[in-house]
Formats: sequence, C-alpha cells, structure tokens
Amino acid sequence: RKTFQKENIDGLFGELNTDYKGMPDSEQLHRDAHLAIAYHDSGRPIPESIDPRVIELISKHGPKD
Amino acid sequence: MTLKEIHHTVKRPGRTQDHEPVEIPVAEELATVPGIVKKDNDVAWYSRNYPIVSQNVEKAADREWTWTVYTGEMYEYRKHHDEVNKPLVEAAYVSGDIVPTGTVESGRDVTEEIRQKARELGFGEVGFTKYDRKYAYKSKKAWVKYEHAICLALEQDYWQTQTIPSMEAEFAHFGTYEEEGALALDLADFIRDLGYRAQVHSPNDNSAAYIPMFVEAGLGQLGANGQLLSPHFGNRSRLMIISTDAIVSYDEPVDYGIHKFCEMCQVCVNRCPGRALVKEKVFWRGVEKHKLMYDRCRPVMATYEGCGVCMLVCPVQRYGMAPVMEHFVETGEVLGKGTDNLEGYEIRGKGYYGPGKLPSFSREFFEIPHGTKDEWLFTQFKQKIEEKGKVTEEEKQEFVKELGDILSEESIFDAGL
Repeated sequence: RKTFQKENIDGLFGELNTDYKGMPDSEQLHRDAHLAIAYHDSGRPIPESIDPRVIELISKHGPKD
Repeated sequence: MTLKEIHHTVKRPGRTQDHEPVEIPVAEELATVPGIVKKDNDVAWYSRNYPIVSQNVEKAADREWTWTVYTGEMYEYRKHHDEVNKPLVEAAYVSGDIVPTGTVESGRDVTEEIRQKARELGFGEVGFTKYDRKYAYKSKKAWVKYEHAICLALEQDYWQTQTIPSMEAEFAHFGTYEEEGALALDLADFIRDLGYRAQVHSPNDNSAAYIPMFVEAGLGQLGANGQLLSPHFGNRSRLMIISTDAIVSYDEPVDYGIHKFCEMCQVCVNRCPGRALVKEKVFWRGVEKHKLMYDRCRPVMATYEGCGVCMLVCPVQRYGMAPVMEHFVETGEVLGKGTDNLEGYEIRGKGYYGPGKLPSFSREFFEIPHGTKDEWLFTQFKQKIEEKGKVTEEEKQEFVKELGDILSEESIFDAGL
C-alpha cells in the first residue's frame, strides 16, 4: 500500500480549491478530504459519511498501488 | 472486532448547533484521570510566592524584537490587527464595571441559558467553573472581578489553518481573535440583561493562564504541544473567559484519554521545526505537563508567520477527537502518523519537509532578547562593559535615557497596546 505523497496531496487540494472555492460546503469538503486521505493511508475503508465528490478525488489523485 | 478494550465513552455536543452530538471512545490503556494530574498544594504555593507573570510582561524584550523580524506583509497586517483589536481590548477592560440592565429572577440557575446563547453566537466550546485565581497573572490579580468563569472557545477556520505556516493562517489566527472579542461583548450584554454582572477577559490581554480553567470545565485536556485539545477542533481555537456573579452550575473535568495518547503520538514533538517540544512530562508549578522550551520556539514563531506547526500536525486538530480515538481503539495506531498528509509542511524560503525531515537553523538564529525590556537593556549595557572594560560618558547618558523611556511607558494592558 502506498500513502499520499506531496504531489498527490497538492493535486487533490489543487483541484478541490479550484472547483469548489467559495461554495458553501467547501470547508466540509476539506475536512472530508483530510480524513479520507488518513483512512486511505492507514489501509482502512473510507467511511460512508465522506462526501462522494471527495471519494472521486481520492481515486483520481491517490497513489497507484 | 476491535483491537482495544474501551474504558469509557465521552459524549459531547456537536461542533455547532447544526451538528449531531459525538461519542468519543477512550481505550483502556489511554484512561488516566479527569482533567490533569496536579498537586493542589504546590499550585497554591507557587501562586502565593511566585504568581504567574504574563508573557507580555516577562518576555517584553522579545515581544518588541518580533516586529524586527516580521516580513513587510506580516508587519503591516499585525499593525492593522492591533488597531482593529484595540477598541475590543479596551471595552473588555472596563466591562466588569457596567451595571446590569435586567432584573434577577431570584434563585434561578442561568447556566443553560448562557450556554445556549454562547453557542448561538458561535462559540464551539462553552464550560462553567470557578475562576481560579491561582492561575491569575500578577498584573491582573487586582483587576479580576466575580467568582465564576465561563470558558469560551471559538473555532479557527479549518482550511486556512491547514496552510500553516502562512499569512493565510495568520489571517485566521488574528481574525478569530477579532471576532471573538466582539462576540464576548455581546454575551456579556446578554448576561447583564439577566440581571447579573459580567467581566470580559480578553483573549489578547489575558487575565490568567486560561487552559487550566478550560480543563477544569471539561472542555478538553492539555496536549503535548502545551495547548488545549478539545473534542471537535483540538488546538485550533482561541480561548477566552467571562467572569460573572450569575447563578451558575459548574461542569466537571473529563478524561478524554489525551495524556496517554500524547505520550504515544508525539507527532508535534517530532515535527516541531525549532525542536522546542519535549517528549517527557515534568511537574511545573505543581502541574504535570510537557513544558516547551520557549527560546527554541519563539524565534521560529516570530520569523515564520507565527509558525504553528504544532497546531497543524496534531491529529486531533486535523481529524477531530472522535475519529482519532475510534481509530486507536480499532487499530492501536495514531491516525495519520508518519504520513505526508498529516506531518508535511513548507517553510518560506526553505522548502518542504515531509515525515522525518526537519529544517535546520544557525545557532545565531536562536539568539533573541531575554526578559523584560529594562532587564534586556541592563544585559546589553553589562555586556558592553565586559567587552570594552569601560563605557563613555555619552554611552552612560544614552543608557539612562533609554531606561527612563522604558520605565515611563504607560499602558494598562500587558500587551502594551
């Protein structure tokens, strides 16, 4: 299992900041993204409570096993 | 199947009024004591014989020095903040003298009304305890009125804080203080409408070390970084107190499992750019705590936009206490520890530091002024005599003039606003 490296993190939050900037739920998306990365890096399943848009970003920007 | 036995579960209100309450499982091996380990006799002895001196007074020389190492942008922003904040600090200073506007309903406990109002105003954590004068600053002991403390924590913006160390994070840091100072004046008005007196203890001209009272009110526990770790935002909040003579009931201290958790986690200790945090606890003024090395912290904090890496890398700040404690119960591990996502940060002009990597600084970088302004002036003068063997009449006169200027400075605020 590989963990998120700096380039993965920059890519994910770069897109998050561009696409969701100023939206009312952008702060919650940031919280969800950090939590989802932590679960990913620990090898545990990402909780269902995490926003689906964040799950997409994790798949897109995450390290390839 | 969980890995760890659960000792107890702490139930807390949601992060805001719109959020559901949370349950925090505390593993058997993390349970210690509610609040903090302390020796009450020692705390009282130190308070009587060596009352706490505000950092603003005791370290005034380096406080003045910080302005000389700010970037241009930081200097201008900090000046702006002080101008915006000054009326709030001034209003807080005289708030205890304002007479109540309402009439007391005899014998009625108003704890929950005040708590509800504080939550409506946006305070994320609200707790009630005795205003403990043992933690009051020497310069403020005579100023403090009323026996009950309402402990108030205002959350700092999540996204901005994750950019630490940066100007963006400083906007969140100082902006939260400005917001909090104004909200507290509103809450004090509400208390006066109930018929009681209220004194606002500014978060920028503190009357005491506030954290012990927050711990006593059950709002969190002291972390290895020397900051209050509260359930929803860890150390990402700004703390203040309102003292009052209203009829209130006290909250109880809580064991969130933080003492043992921090001993095991150590992320802030390992990631501090100045190596200012220590692994082992000591008893300091009667309280068992991780005591930071001020002289290793201050130069980094002053030079690099308030630093705050210890806030940034705390998993309780980043993920919230419930997910972190739940993860420990499930796996026996610290959520995020060892990852770039939690531990990585950038230092202006130095670059990116991931897990296991730290910036280095020259020995001279840590040489800062010490003590009060007059103490530092004496130190420099003495050094001059030791180096040259004597001083000129002109140098003597200059020293006397500078000393006179320092001693004639007048401000009712420790922060010297």
